[in-house]
Amino acid sequence: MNHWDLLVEMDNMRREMDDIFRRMDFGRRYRDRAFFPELAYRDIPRINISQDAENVYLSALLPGVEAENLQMNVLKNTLTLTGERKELMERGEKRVFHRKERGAGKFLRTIELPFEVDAAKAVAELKDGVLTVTLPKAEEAKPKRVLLKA
Amino acid sequence: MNGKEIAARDMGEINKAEETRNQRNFIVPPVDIVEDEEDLVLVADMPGVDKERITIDIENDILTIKGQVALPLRGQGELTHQEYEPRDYHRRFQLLEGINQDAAKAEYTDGVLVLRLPKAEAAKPRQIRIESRN
Repeated sequence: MNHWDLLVEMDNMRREMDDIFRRMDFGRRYRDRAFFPELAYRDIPRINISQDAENVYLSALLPGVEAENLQMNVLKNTLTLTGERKELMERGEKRVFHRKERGAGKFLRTIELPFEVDAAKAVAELKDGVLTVTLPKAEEAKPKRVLLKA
Repeated sequence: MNGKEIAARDMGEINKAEETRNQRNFIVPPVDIVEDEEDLVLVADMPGVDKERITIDIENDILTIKGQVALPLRGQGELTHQEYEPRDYHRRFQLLEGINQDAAKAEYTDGVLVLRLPKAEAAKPRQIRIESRN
């Protein structure tokens, strides 16, 4: 039986609309930003992923996040980044904000990879607001060459 | 004192000037601009920049912040998922009167630039005591 659920349909539509807006060019100025308060309810931090036969390389933009406020967990093929960006300039009585474009607060992002990784051999570095992670692929996920008999 | 008078204004028009005509070559970093009694503080997110490759210029009351991306923002191998592009940072502001430009100080930590522009003596709030004479 195929149930049609209005709420599920609406949720899907909202997600598709969000996607369209994000891809449209007028959002470009915002897409480049690592943290932006007005659209910041998801996709923080921004990540790039690349890979070769041996490893997966992940980099994430985390300006203003200190290493002790960042946690990374790997379970099988799922990588979770959680942390908090502290407010640098607290609001105060004698302070006037002329501009507030940077966001602050807690974030959580889960990244699902299409294969398992060897978490014990992962190497991560946080430098100048950029997190760089090297995750070796699990043995069974590495491509293997099959010898052909002539 | 009107606080707005010394606020740094975003130079949207100047950003479109010749040298930055192709805006896509640059990332406009998001900033906070905060004023307190002593300083005007500008905080900008500029991840992946080498401290040595940030230039901050003040010329004719125009503040220019530039940063050259120094880290390879992508790892080795084939890029399979991309949400950002490593590009240089560039943003300009118009500084209005009341800033002691020579005393500006900047710090870069964890990918965040903090620029402190002290107010000139004349622009600091001053309380005037009212004396009563009987």
